Amino acid sequence: MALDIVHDTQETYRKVLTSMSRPGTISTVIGDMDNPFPCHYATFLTILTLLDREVYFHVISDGENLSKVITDYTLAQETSIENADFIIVPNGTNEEAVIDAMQKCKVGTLEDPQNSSTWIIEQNMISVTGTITLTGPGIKHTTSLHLDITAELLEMRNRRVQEFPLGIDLIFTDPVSLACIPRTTKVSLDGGVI
Amino acid sequence: MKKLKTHFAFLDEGSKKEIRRATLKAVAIPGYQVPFASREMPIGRGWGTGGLQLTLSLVGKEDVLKVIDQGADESVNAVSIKKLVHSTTNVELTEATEDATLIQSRHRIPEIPLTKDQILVLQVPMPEPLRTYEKKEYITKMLHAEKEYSGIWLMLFEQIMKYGRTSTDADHPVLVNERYVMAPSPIPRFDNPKMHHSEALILLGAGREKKIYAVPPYTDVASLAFDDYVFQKEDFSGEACHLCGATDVFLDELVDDHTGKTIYQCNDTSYCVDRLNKLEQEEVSTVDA
Repeated sequence: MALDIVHDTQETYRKVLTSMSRPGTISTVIGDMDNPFPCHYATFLTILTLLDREVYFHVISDGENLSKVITDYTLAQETSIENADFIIVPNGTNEEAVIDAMQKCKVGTLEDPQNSSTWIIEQNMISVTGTITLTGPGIKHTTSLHLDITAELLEMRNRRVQEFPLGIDLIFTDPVSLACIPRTTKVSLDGGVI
Repeated sequence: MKKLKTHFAFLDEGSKKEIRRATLKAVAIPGYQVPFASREMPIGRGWGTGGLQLTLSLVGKEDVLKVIDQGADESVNAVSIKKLVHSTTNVELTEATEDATLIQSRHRIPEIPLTKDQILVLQVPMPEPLRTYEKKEYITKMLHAEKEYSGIWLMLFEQIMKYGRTSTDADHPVLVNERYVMAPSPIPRFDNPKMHHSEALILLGAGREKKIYAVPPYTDVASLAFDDYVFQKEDFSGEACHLCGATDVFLDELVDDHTGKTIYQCNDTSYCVDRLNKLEQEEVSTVDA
């Protein structure tokens, strides 16, 4: 089925908003539309929902030529890691490259903390029974999440969000769902704080 | 001439995307006012365009919408906003707080506690809590950046020196997530505590001032106050709604035209009507029995 750009993106936006305002909440995306992008279906929907010609993006180690399709469909322009509003990490990307990019990406300024990068990171599978514990605004007590990321990557993320309000907001996607970790969330691994 | 059909939810998709991106940033930085390109709306700026744009960027076919203006579902502002959203989306409208998935409100948070499946959109005339003593936007932005809030504390201190208490009526400033001082929109002080660890996501939109900000669920929201002059809600002790008898709600003070006496009435009209209906049902059932 072809995507309905008005209603399907509206629904996807509400899923992203739910997950962003309640970090760790996994939202299952809608339907089973045709996915012309060489990426997860949930990633495809998220990209169509948030990107347009007003924003710049960067795809880390883009083997499948995802950037071209994104520009074709959304008119968003590709740019360097340092300038990107959205940084997209396809599934299976070398983690060293991701950590390196996370060090370089923009985190906003104290006057304009919204001028930061939002990350869309693909995962094999996101699930609730996990080793990562989240606390902070949007979470009643704690939530736990399973993500295929290493302690080194989490450490880099925690370093970049140290100086709140500066920071990065992460959207994790697997084939059919998404979960978010905004900059306000305290993340710890295996019960211990990184 | 053929009448053109308006686009779903009035705004074009580009505008919606921009508002949605700003909203997600607002959620990630609680209490921080994210600038956005406020659109020209078919109602005047300052009449709820910020809230309306948020609502239109959020609304989907399945939503049930409630719009309140100062506690009332049927006043002009609420009705015209409801009509506009309904005519462009055909979503279901309701007056019952518990049935709504989206609630746009001007100057009140409903009496019935909100749930995690609801989003509250508040209309904001003046989003900048520091504006009363600093006119320049550039300076207030710097003050927020540096978390330099001595001015607003001084403002409250001066009010106490002059009047013996803080004289903010509505819009009493709050500190969100221990970082940003935020204008909670002109809700009465009575409603301020409802923002603290709210179950529902609260989004605030200022159309004229072009700002969107948010309070995510379960977020610390503290009304600014001093240790020896603690924050106080409006006091209605000893008073009750003259219609439904409610006591633990925000009451409007009215003067009875005939007797000249002061009477009190629920400000939240749907809450009051709901209570009246329930009381009537109880009376009927006791008569039946």
